[in-house]
Amino acid sequence: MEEDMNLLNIRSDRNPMVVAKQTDTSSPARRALHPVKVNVMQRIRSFLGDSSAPGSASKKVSSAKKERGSSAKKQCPARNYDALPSIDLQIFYDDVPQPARSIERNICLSEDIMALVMKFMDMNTALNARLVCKSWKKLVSDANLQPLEANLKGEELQTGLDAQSLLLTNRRLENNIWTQSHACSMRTHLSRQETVTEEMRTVLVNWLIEVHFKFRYREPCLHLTIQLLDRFLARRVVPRRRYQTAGVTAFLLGCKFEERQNPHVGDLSYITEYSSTRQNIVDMEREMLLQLGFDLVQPKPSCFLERFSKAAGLETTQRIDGKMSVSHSITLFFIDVSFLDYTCCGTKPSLIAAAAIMCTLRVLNRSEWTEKLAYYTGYSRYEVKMIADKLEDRAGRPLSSAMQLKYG
Amino acid sequence: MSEADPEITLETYDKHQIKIPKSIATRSAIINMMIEDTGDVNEVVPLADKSCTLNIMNRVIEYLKKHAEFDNTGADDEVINEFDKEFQEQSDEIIFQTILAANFLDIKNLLELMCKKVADEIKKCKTPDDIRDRFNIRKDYTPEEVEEVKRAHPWIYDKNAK
Repeated sequence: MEEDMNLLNIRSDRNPMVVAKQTDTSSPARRALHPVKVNVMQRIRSFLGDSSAPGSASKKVSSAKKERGSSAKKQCPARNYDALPSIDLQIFYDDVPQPARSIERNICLSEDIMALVMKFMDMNTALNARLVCKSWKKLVSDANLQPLEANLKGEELQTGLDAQSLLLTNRRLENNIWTQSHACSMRTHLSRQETVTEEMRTVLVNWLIEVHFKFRYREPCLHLTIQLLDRFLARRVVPRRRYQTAGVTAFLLGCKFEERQNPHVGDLSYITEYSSTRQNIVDMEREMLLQLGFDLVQPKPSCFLERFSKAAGLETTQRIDGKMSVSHSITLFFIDVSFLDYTCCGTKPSLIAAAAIMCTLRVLNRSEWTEKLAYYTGYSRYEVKMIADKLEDRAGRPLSSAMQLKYG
Repeated sequence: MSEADPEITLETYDKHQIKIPKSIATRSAIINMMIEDTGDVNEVVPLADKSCTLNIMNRVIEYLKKHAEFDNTGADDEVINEFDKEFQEQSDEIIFQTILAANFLDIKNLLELMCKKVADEIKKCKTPDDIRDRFNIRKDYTPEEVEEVKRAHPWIYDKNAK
């Protein structure tokens, strides 16, 4: 007898998911049978209700149950519960009062619904959800929230991990540097200058883009040049006639730092049509290094571009034949646009990179901002949209001569 | 009710009868199918899923009616969002029941709305353990398996730990 009761208990406590599956597969006709059978089983349950009472009581119960089971439907011998068809299993489940929680459990393990739920999660939560239980882990990967390196193995995976940790380091560094006051001083760095104006900056940056293009150096060099120039101008008042010298010196430092071969100082003096002499440039270089405290390494847009474009599903740079992919050129174009715009000076480099990616996606008619991008860039759609709109507006105006030369 | 919009009688799982206009009933794909099958609007439509109790069905119908109204009047997104948000704020029990009902009745908007709510609830939990406690899910990972999952994406889980 005791054994019988145990069997019953096990059955009623059976994993709800198993039961749920069986319900799903049962046909409507079977569902329609419910009411009749429920009545039968309800009566059985009314006996089972006080099943906790041991000894004679339970004996009576099970014998009564035996009677019911055999008289109501000669479907199965009362002892052999394993032979019960699945529909009866369902009724056991229905009838035995379940704690309210079990319904939740039922739903949390139902795959269709959870797959839907996962679609609304952001990446961080989804990755947490992967650790909750096995069926969830499967669903998360189905819900297309995989990390970039999820499908890779070996060396590629390691490269991805390195790139990711580099990105995080850069972000941390950037957050340390770009405090409120730093952003503010960068945003207004020309207001403290006595003779240098906004237009002059645009002309100089335009000229620097052209020079950089003529020298055929890589992008990070240009990014560093502009950054050094702006940082220097934020710290020191430069007379108008030395502004170009400052620009060309920043270019020299940028090349020294980023490129294998740096240009001769004489050549640089030549491209300024000797308005800056060799001595001027060398003096300015010393001055600039002292002012910046020899701190040349700061995160710049190019640090973030590769990782962001990968997250956006854009092609990263292909330098096999010396040409760049279209999407990458468009991104670089928008970053150059941001350099030309004085109002972008106070914006974090990573945000500029993110905005350039968003503009590129717009140009290519792709979906603007996915969960994945939001996760890898760390910026929400609205933050980026403001800058992206500004860049797009700026790009809509007539192009400067250097931009025409470079991208025309 | 005009002839163009007759009333449909629904029978809930706990044997209550609800009358609603056909235009609203047919927003549920499954009821629409059942009506078309019988071809007779006077016939009682039984809802055989155990989630479709009177209580839940009343809420579902409230949602359908409101959204029918929004569609007809062309209400602002703001108004709709506000209603949706209020509709979401319920006890877990009701939310889960509503999801089951919406799933059974095949009402896509409602299903998505409630699923979003569950996703938000999961989002509020910071660690997998929180989620398990919140939703009463049994852990079927062994510690080694957890490590394996974590090892695939170390930076993410490291960051969460901080």
